[in-house]
Amino acid sequence: MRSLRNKTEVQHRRSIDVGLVLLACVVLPPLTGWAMPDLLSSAHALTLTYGVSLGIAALSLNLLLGYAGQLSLGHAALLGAGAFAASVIVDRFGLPMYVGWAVGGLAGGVVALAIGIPALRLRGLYLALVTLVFGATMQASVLRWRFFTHGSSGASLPRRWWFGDHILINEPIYLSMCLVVLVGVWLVDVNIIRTRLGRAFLAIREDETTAQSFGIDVVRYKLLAFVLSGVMAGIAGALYGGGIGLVTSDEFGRELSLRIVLIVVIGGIGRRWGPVVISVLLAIAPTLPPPFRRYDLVIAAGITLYNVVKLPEGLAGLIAHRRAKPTGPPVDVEQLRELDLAAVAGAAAPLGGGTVLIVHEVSVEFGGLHAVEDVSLRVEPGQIVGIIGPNGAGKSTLFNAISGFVPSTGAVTLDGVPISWAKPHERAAAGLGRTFQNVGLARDQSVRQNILLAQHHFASYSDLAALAYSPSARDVEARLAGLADEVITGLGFEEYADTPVRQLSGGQQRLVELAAVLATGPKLLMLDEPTAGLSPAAAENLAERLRQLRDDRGQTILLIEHNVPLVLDLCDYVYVLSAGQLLAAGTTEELSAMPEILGAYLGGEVFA
Amino acid sequence: MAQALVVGLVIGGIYSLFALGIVLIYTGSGVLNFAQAELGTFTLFVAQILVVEHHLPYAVGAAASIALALAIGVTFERLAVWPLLNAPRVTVAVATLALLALAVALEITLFGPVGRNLPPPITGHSVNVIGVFVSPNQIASLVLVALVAGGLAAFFRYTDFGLSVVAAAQDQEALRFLGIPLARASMFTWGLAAVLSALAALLIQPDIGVISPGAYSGIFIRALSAALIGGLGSMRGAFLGGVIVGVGEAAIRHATVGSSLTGLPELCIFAAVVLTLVFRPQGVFGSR
Repeated sequence: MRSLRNKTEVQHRRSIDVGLVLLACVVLPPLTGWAMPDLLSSAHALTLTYGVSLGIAALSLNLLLGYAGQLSLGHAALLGAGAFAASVIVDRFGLPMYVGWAVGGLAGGVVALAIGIPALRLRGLYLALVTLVFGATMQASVLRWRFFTHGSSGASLPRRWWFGDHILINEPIYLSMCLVVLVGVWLVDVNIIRTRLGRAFLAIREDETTAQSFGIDVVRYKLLAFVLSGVMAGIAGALYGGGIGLVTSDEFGRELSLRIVLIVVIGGIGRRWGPVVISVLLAIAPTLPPPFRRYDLVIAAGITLYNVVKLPEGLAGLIAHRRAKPTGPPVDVEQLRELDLAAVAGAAAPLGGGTVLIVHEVSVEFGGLHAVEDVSLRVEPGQIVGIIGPNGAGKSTLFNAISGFVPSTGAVTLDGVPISWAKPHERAAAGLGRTFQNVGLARDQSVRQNILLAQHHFASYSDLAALAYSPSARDVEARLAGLADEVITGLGFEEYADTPVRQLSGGQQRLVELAAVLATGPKLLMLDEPTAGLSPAAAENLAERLRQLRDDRGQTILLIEHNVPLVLDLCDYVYVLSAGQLLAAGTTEELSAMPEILGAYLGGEVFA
Repeated sequence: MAQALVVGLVIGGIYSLFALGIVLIYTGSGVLNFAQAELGTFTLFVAQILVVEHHLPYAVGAAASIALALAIGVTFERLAVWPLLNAPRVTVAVATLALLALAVALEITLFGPVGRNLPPPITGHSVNVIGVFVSPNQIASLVLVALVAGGLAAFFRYTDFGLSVVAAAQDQEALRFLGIPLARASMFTWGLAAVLSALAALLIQPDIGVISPGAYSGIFIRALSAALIGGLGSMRGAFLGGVIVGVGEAAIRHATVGSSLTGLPELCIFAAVVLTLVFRPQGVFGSR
C-alpha cells in the first residue's frame, strides 16, 4: 500500500516537472525576446530554432542507432520528405502549419517504411548502404523535380498559424513551438525506452540471436525503429523548413546526414541530453568568431573518431564507465542449495497432454557437410531428457535446429503443434525456452532489464499504447516489474538487480539466463550445458534444483551436458549423439548397461 | 550512343576500382568503408598542389598521392579498425564515417571550398576508333584499370599471401593456421584499398575536371551500388558491377537526355540496388 502511494506520488511529481518544462519552453523565448532583444534577437532565435530541429533529428537517429543499433546515412532525405510534404500542405492547401508538421512526420515514416522493408530483412550494414544511396538519389532526382519541389528555387513553407493569411512572424514564438515539439518527441522517446519497444530495440542492438530467443520478431522491431525514427525526422524537417520559410533540395543532402551522425556520436550514442546539447552547439558554432567557425567541422570529426575508438558510447559513456562495479563473485554451493527455481518460474502454459517435443528425422547441412543427420527424439511431459556426446557431435547444432536458428530438414512438433516452419521468435512464443552455451543475455543490460526482456511476449499492449505510455501499458509494466522483483528475490540477486549482466561472473550469468527463461513459463526448457563453469559441487546442486523443478512443477526439460555421470544421475532418458548421428538412446539403467558406448565415445574426455 | 557507351566503359572501369576497394575491406573486416572515395579526393588535392603550385612532374604528384593514401589507410587501420576487432561492425562503420567527415573538413579548411584544376597527364587529340572518339587519357585509364584488375585477380588467386587474405574473410582461424598474422592481413587490405582509392581518383579526375571537397561523393555512391549489385563478397562481382553501373548509367543518360525529370540514371541505379537486395542479396555474381 505504501509503495503504491509512493508510486502515484512519483508519477504526480513527474507530470508537474513536465508541466514546468513545457511552461518554460512556451514562456521563456518570447519573454526574453521582448525584454532583452539584444540577448535573443530574431536572428538568434532562428539559429536556436535550427538547433532545436537538429536536436529532434538527432533524437530520431539516436533512436535508430543508439537503441536499435541500425545506421542510417540518408537521414537528411527523411527530413527533406517531411519538409516538402509540409510545404505542400501549408503552402498549396493553405492548412495551418501544425497539420504540416503532422503530415511531415507521416511522410518521413512512410519513406522509412518503403526503404526499410527491402533493407532490414537482412542482417548487417545494409540499411546504412541503402539509405546512403537513397539520400543521394533523392537529392539528384525527385527533390529537383519542378512539379514537386519547384526545382532549385525551392518550395515556400510559410508559418501559417491559422487558416487564411495568419502568418507567424515572431521568431521567439516559433522557437517556443519548436521547443514544445522537442519536449513531446523527448517524452515519446522516454516512453519507448521504458516499455517493451525499447527493450526489444536494445536487445537487437546487442545480439539479434538473443533477441529472437526471447521471442522478439527482429525484422519487425528493426522496421518499427526505423519508421519511428522516420516520423521524428519528418517532423524535424518540417520545423526546420518552417524556420527558414523556404525548402530547397540542397539543404537535405549528404552533409546534413553526416552531421546528424556526428552529433549523435559526440553527444553519446543511446543518450538524450548529449545529442540535443551538441545539436544546439553545432547550430551556434557558425555564428561564432573565426577560430570556432573555421575549425568546427574538423573538431567535430576528430572528436567523433576519438569517441568511436576510445569510448564506444560517446562522451556520455564516460560517466557510466566510471561507475562500473567490479565483477561479481562465482556462484557458490550455498547459494544454489537455497535456490528455489519453482519460485522463480512463471505460470506455465497448460500442456496438451501428449508428447511435449517430437523431433522427426532432422538433418542440418553446412556446405555439404552433415552436422546433424536424421536425428529423431521425443520428450515426454515431466521428463528430464539429456543429450550427450563428444565435442563436435552436433549437440548444439541440434538445439539450434529445434529452436529454429539454423535451417534444417525434418519435422519438429512442440506440444502437438508443428513448428518446423516457424521462425525462432515464433518458436519462443510457442513455449520453447532455451539457454545458450555462451549465455544468451543482453550483457550491457541489467539483470532486471533482462528478465523483463524475456517477458516480451507478455507485454501485450499495442505499440501506440507504448508510445503514449497509456494506463493499460502502465498497468502491464507495473505487473511485469513486480514479477521481475519476485524473480530477482527468488534468485537471491537483490544486490545485483541493476548491475549490467556483463559485470557478473559466468556462473551468475548462467543463473540469470535460466531464471529469465524459466520466468516465461516455457512448455519445454532447453538448457545448453547448464553446469558449464560451475564447480563439481555447485553442478550437483544445480542438478538437484532442476530435479526439484521437475518434481514440484512437472517442468519438462531437454538438456545438453558434458558431465556424463551428472546426466546419468539426473535424466529420465538420454540420447547419445556422435558425428551428427544418434548412436544410442535409453533410460539411465539401459545406458549404464552399455559401457562400451559411454567408454568408447565419451570416456576419455568426460570421466577425466 | 556508341560514344556514350565507350565513355560509360571508361568511367565504369574506374567505378570498379573504387568498388574493388570497398569489397576488399568488406571481405577483410566485414565493414563498409564510407571514406573509400573521399580518401582519394584528399590525396588528389595533394597531387594537385604538388603539380600545379610546385611545378613538379605529374608522375611525382601521382606517386606522392598514392603513398599518402597508403599511409593514411594503414594508419587508420592501426588506430581505429584493429582496436575495434571485436566491436560490433556498426561501430567500425561509424569510425569510417568520422574519417570521411575529417577528410572533408580538412579539405575545406586546408584547401578551401573553391574547386581546383589539375591538367590531365597526357594531352593530345582524341583518336577516332571506328567512329568513336577516345581521348588518350581514356585509353590510358582503360589499360591501367585492366592491368590493375588482372594483377589483383592473379595476386589473390596465385600467391600464398593473396590466398590467405581471402581465406581470412571466410575463417580467421584458418589464417592463424596458415601462419599469417591476422594483423598483417588486415593492414594489407586497408592499405591496398587506400591505394586503389588514390589511383581511381587520379584516373577519374580528367573526366570530372574540378577537384573540390566532397566532389567524388557521387562517384562513391555509384561504386557502392556497383559493389552491392555485383556482390559485396565478390571481387569479380565488384569489378563487373562497376562496369555495369558505368555503362548502364551512360546508356540511360543518353536515352533520357532532355527529359524534364532530372536524375533518372540515379533513380535506375537505386532501383537496381533495391532489386538486388530483395531478390539476390549476395549480389548478381556473388555466391552464398
